[in-house]
Amino acid sequence: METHSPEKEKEIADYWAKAATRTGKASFNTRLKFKRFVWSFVLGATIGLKRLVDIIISACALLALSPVYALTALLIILEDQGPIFFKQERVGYRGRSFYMWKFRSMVTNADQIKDQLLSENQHGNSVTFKMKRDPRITRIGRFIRKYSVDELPQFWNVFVGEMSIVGPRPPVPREVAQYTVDDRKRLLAKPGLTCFWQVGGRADINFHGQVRLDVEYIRSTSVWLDIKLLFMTVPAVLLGKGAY
Amino acid sequence: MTKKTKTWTLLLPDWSERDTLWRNSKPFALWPVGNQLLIDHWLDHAVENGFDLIEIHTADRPTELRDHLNGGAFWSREIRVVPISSDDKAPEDATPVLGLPNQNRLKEKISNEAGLLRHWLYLNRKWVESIDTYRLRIEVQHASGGWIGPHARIHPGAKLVAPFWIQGKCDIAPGAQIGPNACIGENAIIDEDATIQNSVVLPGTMVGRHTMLDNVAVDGGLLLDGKHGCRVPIADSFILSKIGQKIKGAPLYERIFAALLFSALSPVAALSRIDWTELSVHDGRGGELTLKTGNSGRLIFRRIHWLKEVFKGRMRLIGILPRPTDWSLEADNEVEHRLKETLPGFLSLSDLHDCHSPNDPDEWIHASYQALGANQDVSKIVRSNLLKLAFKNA
Repeated sequence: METHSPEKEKEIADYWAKAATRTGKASFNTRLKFKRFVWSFVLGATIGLKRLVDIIISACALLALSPVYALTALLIILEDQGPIFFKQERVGYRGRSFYMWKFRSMVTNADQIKDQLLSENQHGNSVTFKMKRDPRITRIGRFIRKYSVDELPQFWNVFVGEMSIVGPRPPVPREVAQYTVDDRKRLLAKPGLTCFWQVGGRADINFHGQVRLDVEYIRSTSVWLDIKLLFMTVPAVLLGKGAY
Repeated sequence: MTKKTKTWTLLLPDWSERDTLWRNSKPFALWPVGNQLLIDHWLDHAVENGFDLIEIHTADRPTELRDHLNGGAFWSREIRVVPISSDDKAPEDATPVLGLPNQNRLKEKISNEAGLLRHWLYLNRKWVESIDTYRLRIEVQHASGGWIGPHARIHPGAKLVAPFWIQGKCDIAPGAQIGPNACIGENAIIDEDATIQNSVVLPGTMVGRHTMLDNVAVDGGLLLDGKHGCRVPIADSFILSKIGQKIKGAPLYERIFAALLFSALSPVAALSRIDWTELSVHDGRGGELTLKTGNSGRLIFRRIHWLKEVFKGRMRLIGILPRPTDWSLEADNEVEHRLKETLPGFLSLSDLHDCHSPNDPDEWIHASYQALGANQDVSKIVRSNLLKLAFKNA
């Protein structure tokens, strides 16, 4: 241990002498409780409100967008009489699996066709699959994907706590199986509807760029950043930037 | 052509009897080393080396390990936990987990009671020294060379001496010295002029002003000294204390229901002639509860005073029977430990099977099914029999 100046030594000795008295203990305990309260308030105001914001926003979205849900459902049924929703297993916080809901934008046997299309993956040999003019997408599907209407049922996932409004996009188990230890960093936060890379370039950003941006978000996450990202997502969605 | 499965067999040595200082409820493989548990470092290593199946043999609390690993979901690898009766029953080719994967050896033989703690402190020190090479890292490097996690608040007047590692949500006050070789866990508060070196501060711990820690570990109000081989519970919270544990108590609707039930029944209970005894039981959070219990009569009246504890959030309406402090289970130490750490309840599955005391030889089977099983229907079964149970004459 380092040695202190005589003044510092005296201050430390006075502190411990006071700590031995009943009044000293009481005042130190009060100070301690105050310090804990302040720190929990700071943390609560920056990150603790996240779940509350998620519940409020998702509940409002589910109610306010109900006409859009109804119209989309009707159009999907009219196009091919298939199911309205598409439920897909995704990997959430620390690898926990959950089912993510979407409006169905592809033909009903899309997964079988995907295996034949792997060579045309726009992300090259990457762990994710994306291609322009994907033949599996239906006419209505193309429209709802461009404006991200297909993602709207995920407000339900947010409402029940499986996802957050803002957070890294949840990957499918097949992708996660190929992740390196570095890539797994993106599983250290609750997945969300939007994040840095959706606001930036959406599907145009390669996989490693997505991981880097996701980690950047995990490092700097706060309620205020979430609200900012949410507002920035709106023009990105309306312009359909990077969406196929 | 099918791909050949690459398997890795690990042995987690049973060091439970050597953990006499910390008395941790978790096996050594689930002790934190740096920002992960020891076994997590090994599983990251397995991912890096392309193993598809990891088989873990252990005689030390396999259920705890299985719960943590969750089938290997985080690593997307199949992970099997194989319970064994003793370490020598493990396959010969199993790799014993003694330390970190890249330094898997014991510095010295774990002989005396402080040996395990010293070994763990050594592992933490080795990890913080080699943190630059660590892969699964969301911390950022500080100018002094140490690493700091997200949402940490470091006062400019704090002195940071590399190597050190501060996990997220920590508050470091002015004049505090962190490092060298300090590991500060998540949500810790280091107060003014405190010094932490060669030490581990576990998550949720507050280190008070002018407190100097060297070559120790602190877990809330418990100080573990590896050098002198002792554990010191600190009574004064302004020196060391636990900031707060997120233990789920009874939900609000249960507490309100308990208060209403107590108000409605207390006049009847007051008129009935019941002999009361005071039971000292485990509260499921490492502490004790004193429960006023009737010796005879209907369950609802005998246990009426337990409702006050439900109202305070210290018990559940439906949970396992409270375990007396002198209760033990020779059949299975791990189950005993876990039952003592489960929030007790006013009514339980055991009551349905006419076992109203933990001292009944078969009671632990129902209690463990209720507490450890993932079957959510147990609460439903008890709830549907609530009236019948409550007025049962025991």
